[in-house]
Amino acid sequence: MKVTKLGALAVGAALVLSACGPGATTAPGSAGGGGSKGTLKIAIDLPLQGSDKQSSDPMINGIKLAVKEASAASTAGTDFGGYALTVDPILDDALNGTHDPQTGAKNMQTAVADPNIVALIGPLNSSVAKAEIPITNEAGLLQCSPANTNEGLTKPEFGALDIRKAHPDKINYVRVVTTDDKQGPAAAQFIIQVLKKTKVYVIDDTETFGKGIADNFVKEFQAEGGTVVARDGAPKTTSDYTPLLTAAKAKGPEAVYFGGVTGTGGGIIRKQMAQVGMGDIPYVGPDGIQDGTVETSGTFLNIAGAAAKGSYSSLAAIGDFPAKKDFDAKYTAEYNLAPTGYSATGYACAQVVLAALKAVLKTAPSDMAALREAVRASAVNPATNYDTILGTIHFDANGDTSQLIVSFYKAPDPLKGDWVFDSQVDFGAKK
Amino acid sequence: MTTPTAAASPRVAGPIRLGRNARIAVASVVFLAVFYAFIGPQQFANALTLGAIYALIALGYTMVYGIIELINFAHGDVFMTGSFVSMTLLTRIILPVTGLTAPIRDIVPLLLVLLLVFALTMPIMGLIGVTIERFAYRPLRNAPRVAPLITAIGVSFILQNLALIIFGPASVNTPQLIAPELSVNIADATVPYINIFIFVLAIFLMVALNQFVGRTRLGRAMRSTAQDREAAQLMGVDLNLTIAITFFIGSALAGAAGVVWGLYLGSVKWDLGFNGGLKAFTAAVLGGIGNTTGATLGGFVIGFIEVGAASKGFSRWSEAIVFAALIIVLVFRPAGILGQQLGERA
Amino acid sequence: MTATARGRSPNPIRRGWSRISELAAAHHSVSIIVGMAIVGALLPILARVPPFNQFQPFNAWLDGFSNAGTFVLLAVGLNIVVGLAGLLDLGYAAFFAFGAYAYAFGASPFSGNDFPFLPMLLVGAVVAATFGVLLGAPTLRLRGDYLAIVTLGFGEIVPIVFLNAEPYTNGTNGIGGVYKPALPWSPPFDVVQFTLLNPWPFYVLVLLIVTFTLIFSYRLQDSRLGRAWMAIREDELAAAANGINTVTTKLLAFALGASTAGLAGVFNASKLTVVSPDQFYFQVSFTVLTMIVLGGQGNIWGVALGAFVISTLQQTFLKTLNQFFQAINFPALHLGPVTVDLQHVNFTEYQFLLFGIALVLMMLLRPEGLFPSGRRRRELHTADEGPEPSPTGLDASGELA
Repeated sequence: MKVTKLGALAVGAALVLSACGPGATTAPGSAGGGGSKGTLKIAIDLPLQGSDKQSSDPMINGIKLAVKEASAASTAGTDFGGYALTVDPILDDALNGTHDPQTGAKNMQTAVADPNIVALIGPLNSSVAKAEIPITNEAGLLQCSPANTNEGLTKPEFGALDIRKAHPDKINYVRVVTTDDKQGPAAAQFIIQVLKKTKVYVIDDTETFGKGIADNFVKEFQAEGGTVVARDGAPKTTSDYTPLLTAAKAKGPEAVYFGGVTGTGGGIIRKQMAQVGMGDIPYVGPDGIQDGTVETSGTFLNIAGAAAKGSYSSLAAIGDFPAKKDFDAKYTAEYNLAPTGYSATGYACAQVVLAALKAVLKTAPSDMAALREAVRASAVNPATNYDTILGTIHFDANGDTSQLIVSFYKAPDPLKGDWVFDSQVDFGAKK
Repeated sequence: MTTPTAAASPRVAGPIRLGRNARIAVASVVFLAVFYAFIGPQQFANALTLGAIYALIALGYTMVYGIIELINFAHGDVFMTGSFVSMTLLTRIILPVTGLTAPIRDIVPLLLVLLLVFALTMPIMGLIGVTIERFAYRPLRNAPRVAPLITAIGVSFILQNLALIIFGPASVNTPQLIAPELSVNIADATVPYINIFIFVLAIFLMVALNQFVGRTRLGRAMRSTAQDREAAQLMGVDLNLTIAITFFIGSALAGAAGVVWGLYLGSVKWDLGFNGGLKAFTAAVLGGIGNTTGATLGGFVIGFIEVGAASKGFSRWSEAIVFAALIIVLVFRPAGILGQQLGERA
Repeated sequence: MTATARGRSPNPIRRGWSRISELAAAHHSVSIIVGMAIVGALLPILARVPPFNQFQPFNAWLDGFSNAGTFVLLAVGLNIVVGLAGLLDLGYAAFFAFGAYAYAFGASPFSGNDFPFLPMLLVGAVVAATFGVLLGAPTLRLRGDYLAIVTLGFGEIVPIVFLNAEPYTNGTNGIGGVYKPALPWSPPFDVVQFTLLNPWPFYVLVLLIVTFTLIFSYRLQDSRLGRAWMAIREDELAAAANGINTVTTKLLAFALGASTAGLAGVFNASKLTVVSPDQFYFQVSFTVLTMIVLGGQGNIWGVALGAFVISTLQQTFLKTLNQFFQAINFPALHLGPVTVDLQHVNFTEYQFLLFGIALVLMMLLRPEGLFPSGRRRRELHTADEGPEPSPTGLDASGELA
């Protein structure tokens, strides 16, 4: 009893002491580059716990790399009006091990309250974005997401005006990846045109992203003349998919489309497909299953193991970008890690923010609020073109990227390393 | 030959009267036939496998409830822990030391490794179960009923989050010792050997348990404790030992379920125990909590409900259906299919 | 062991405290209003002074306090069911969901309705209470632990229904753009305007709702109904024998407990502006249960404080605890093969582990919670007089009557 009381006391003391620690604003990714007028901050909001972290880390690395390079290239901060740049704070929108809209919303309060934050990069999950955009929109803070694909975040016909209610015409949220109404249909075209399969079984994880993208997939697949033999939804708590797969197999699908991420069943489904004798049927999933190498524990390729052969994943961005080789080399030199598709999108978001800053800071801002507004206005201006690592892009009237490319990757064969770029579908070129 | 089952409330049922047995057997056969017709042979095999695993877990719930009237909320997580223990044993010790790789295709080494992993995992889980009982439940044996239930929730959190911290949030691969593609054709269905193995093993363990409870001294002590704790104590039953053994056996069975889960599906995850445990608990209630035969039946019923829902396109509702079944049974027949009406005990 | 503890007289601080609480007990409503006013004024001040202002900006603090307020409401409501009436409810988040969806149906572009906030607050409470009765009516005759499981199952089913009833709930996407409360008149100052960037109105609003709920809850507890609940909790048979209609009484506990969750749901929906099924899974129910167990089941201000503290710990302190270890440059510990580097530990990941440990220790060492109600403590400690006393010497507090 006494011991426990002491223990409780110690914990209590630790908590109290922690209050005396430094603020939440220790700069974890501050970069050099000089500058005498002070520091401008680029904030990040991504989930840093659980399986989401595997997607967030490459983005953070990409962002930091871009800011570091820009700072180094700017002698004494001249490119940025004499200001130094830093990536700070890195906010965690996860609670209890998974992304959480309420936590994201609270993080936005932190971000908008700091006048030195000129832009925010994030979040990873569309459901979090839905709770965040109303706040950043009201504050007029530029937010660039390297990963959100839900069409409802930007497009009025999917209800985006309800989210940016404060200033419906003052766009503050942009993204460098294209939307689910492109990514899902792209997968449908990929299966019909590249894989040449017309009968598909569709399963989703019943969550916002997974179900949304599967719905879009189904619409396009049927429009292109394909048949959806069965459609199921299994929540992420499912661990035995064999009854579903057995039932689906009986209907004779030639391909399987999964709407969801690895953490909600992507890898296990592929593994169990092999078990019920569907291992030779191609399996296609969205960017949520493109989460790292065979050797990294917990990734799609790792969990599916030998069954991963014949799997394809899409990325809602260009996979075969012109400077890929250079970028991969730079990234590997900096972090001693192989970049993922998300490293490039994080890097691109940072490039957009940096370019907007550079343009705005040619003239000195009157105050921080004016600077923030100028950065936002400049970034979302459809007339501004950005040379990013992904190619030259601009944002349309809703903040969506002009680059409507979805790329497809296939599982490596032999099973070693990361996904291999296969092909890409460009919606921009078609129209 | 012992306890008359018609008396008061036999929470751990021993061998029961033939008339009753016959009725159960007939009902079971009818039930199986209906489901077979409903879902077809292939899904029938899936359901039997899943049901066998639920039944193994349900036994632990029912035994513990029978003897100390505690819903051992942490039991599902004991099952989950068992799956991680067996995964660790296999990947870190057994396979590296023997130099074998999964799947093992030679029958003798395969059987030896299987034997080894069960022989290690089950006692380890049994001891974990006994430890949990000793430190989390025993001090509260005479407290109001919600107190140990809340402790059990706490233990459940602890086990889950230890697994989460140690093994990470993602699914972890575990070796499938029996090659999943090896199968045999039975009645239009392609049944993998692993499914047959799980079913046979589960039935074997359940029969062994029934014999133990029905025919041994310790089993008799368990049954008498379940009927009247104080009277049993007066008759010389060592209460603490009997309860500890109940926890040992229940947890060991959950450990066995954990092993077969890994062998069957090839991956384990930290949150496996919550849903698996709830479904197994539903099975125990369905069968009449405190009744081991009932738990077995209940496990298969839940397996069939789940597989039936999935195979008929109700996958989005399958969890809701299982829980709705639980609520309906609890509301209309709280004693379950086989249990007697227990009435309110404060 | 118990005998010596029983004989000890309370120390002077305790005596002074008891005098204050006696005074407060005599004027509950007034003292709650005064107390909440003081707390309400103090928190914003605290958030501005070191060391607290170092953690996060002021607005984030205030926003966090409003989130904590939601949990205080939930805890006070669950306390009626679990703490007062002794019915273990493991699916309480379902009623939170009913409140939130009620508001989303009443005031969002999705439904096309735009009813004002205050009436919707009432509607949310009534809807949640109705479902409380609907769930309670068939299940309340079940024994305590069965009831716990039924409520758990119910709590799991409700979000699945909201998830799959897509035409009515927008499914997994949830209902977005839920309207904020609007003031009926045009306010002269911006600070009272409900905007997402201004945390003040929500803060004040939740203070008001919490104050109202606390008064309501205290009055209930001291009413005939409250005494009936406690009688049922302590001995249902005896209560029934004394003429208490146990079914109606329990149903009322379920309904009133649920109605508070309804209030919390409406408030939270209006503040977050998004309502989706994944906000109402069992983690919420279990978090609230932990709050009331730690706070002290049955003691209203205890559970309110427990909820506030845990919610704040969860939102702010755990997230920054590793920075504390970074600041003092706490060395990495090498314990055999395991390396513990507290500087790089994300403590929020350990939150449920800590909850679990706290629940177990609490039940073993101090089952009445950190801030117990006297009656509840006496009840929970009857165990000590049973045939097998707990080995812990529980009654150091010396208040065992």
